[in-house]
Amino acid sequence: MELSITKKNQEAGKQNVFPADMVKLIERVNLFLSTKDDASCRSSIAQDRGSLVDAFGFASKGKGKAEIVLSEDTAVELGHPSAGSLSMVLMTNRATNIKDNRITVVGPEVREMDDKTRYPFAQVILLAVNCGTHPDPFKIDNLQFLTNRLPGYMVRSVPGKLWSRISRKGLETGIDLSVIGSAVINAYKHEFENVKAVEVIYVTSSKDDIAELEKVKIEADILSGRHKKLVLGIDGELECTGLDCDTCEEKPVCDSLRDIVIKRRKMN
Amino acid sequence: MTDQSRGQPVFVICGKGGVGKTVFTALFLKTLLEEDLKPLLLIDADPAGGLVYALDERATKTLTEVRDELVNAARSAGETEKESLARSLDYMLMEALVERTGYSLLAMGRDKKVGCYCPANTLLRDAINSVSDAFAAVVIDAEAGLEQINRRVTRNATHTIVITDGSLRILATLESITGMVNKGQIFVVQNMTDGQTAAGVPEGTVFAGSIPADNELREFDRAGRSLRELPAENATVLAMKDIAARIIGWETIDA
Repeated sequence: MELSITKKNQEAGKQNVFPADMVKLIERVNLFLSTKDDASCRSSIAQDRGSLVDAFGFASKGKGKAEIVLSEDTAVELGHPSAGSLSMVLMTNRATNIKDNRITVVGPEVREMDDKTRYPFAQVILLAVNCGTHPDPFKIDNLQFLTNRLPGYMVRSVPGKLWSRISRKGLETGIDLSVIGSAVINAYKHEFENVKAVEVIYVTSSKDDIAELEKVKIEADILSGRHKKLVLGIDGELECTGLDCDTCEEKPVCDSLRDIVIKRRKMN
Repeated sequence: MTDQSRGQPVFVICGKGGVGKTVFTALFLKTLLEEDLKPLLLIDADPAGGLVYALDERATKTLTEVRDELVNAARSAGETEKESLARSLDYMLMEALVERTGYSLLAMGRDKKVGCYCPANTLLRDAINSVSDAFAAVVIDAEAGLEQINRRVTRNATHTIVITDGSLRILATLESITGMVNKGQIFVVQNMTDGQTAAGVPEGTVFAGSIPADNELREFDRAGRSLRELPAENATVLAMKDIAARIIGWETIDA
């Protein structure tokens, strides 16, 4: 799909908005991964729920204990607002595009990090759901943060960003991105209907890598119907429901989209 | 402002404008940390934000800004976005938290908007409660005057510390405060006075001591240096040790 924006002054609520298949965006994430060499990109297979519960105290949704990890108790800090952060869920009906149960880390793993540095952090979840199902994107989003579910792992989030800390105690018990990814995969598989496959990608390498994925996220927000003013019409065209670009708070998003359109046209 | 469910001390420092609440709070923090009562959560509830300067800190985001962001986001939030918004509040609060070794600081900031945001304030108070659970004690440098006490912002104080300069006007204020606070113990501290005197201190309150006027402290204040750096032999630091001992140990002494 090529992005272009047309003006349509209608109320967003009356538009025919539906969560579109994000298989093209998943392909772009896979393309991003293919540019990384073996030394900076490692994969593992998710642990099962039983071992997560036994070894790390992984709690069911809403059953965990609220926990705050202060900076002096922090072993690893990921996605601090100053460091760069991104979280997104890309959904498709095509399970073949997703390597089920795989967790990939681009950049250093937790044990290779120090407690003085604030690391950039992206959590990208690739989700395959049964054909014909259109889960609520907000419900899908809400599951990804593992709020209060993994002792020693504190998560703070705003839409599209994830800021987390692993406590010194959490690090001692063995929490790393592979464990966190395992918990994410288990959460989706056990607590969401119609999930066929889940893959998780973490990026801790650089702000530039996060920025690269940010372009994918902007398109994902529109396709999922999360965007306030830019919506996907029934004909596949993106439509803007705003009246005045000069006063629109979404103008930076449109500007980014225009840049993306230009770059993609140059690429093709 | 904080929850008392787990017996965590909540110290609220109040009094009229200009009596030295902020200086007291900074010195009190220094003493509590030296006494190993940590980690501490400091809340600069004075819109003037003096505590931030007395500790030579900078708050990148204030609680008022967090509240305003929350109000703006709530304007366009649909039903399914509310869970996300609830999580966002914790994120914003963490952004506002200035974290240091032994203590963290939240600054209230100046309210520029007109309007009543009671539900937003309630949400914010709940979020602060959950943050405060991570701390051994909470110290609140309250706004000048009685408004925050009257509005029960400081309703969970276990130790209300009223700073006075010994004037009659302030003693009248003190009587008003004792009428408003219905929980915990009220302590009175005289600031910048030459001698210790409990004269005029209302019944039902505890006179905790006096902080002498001190040139070294004034120099630190003028230079914008953190009062935490005052030397151990400084007169105000020594006075504070006695005052803090009376305040912290009161329940034990009383028993």
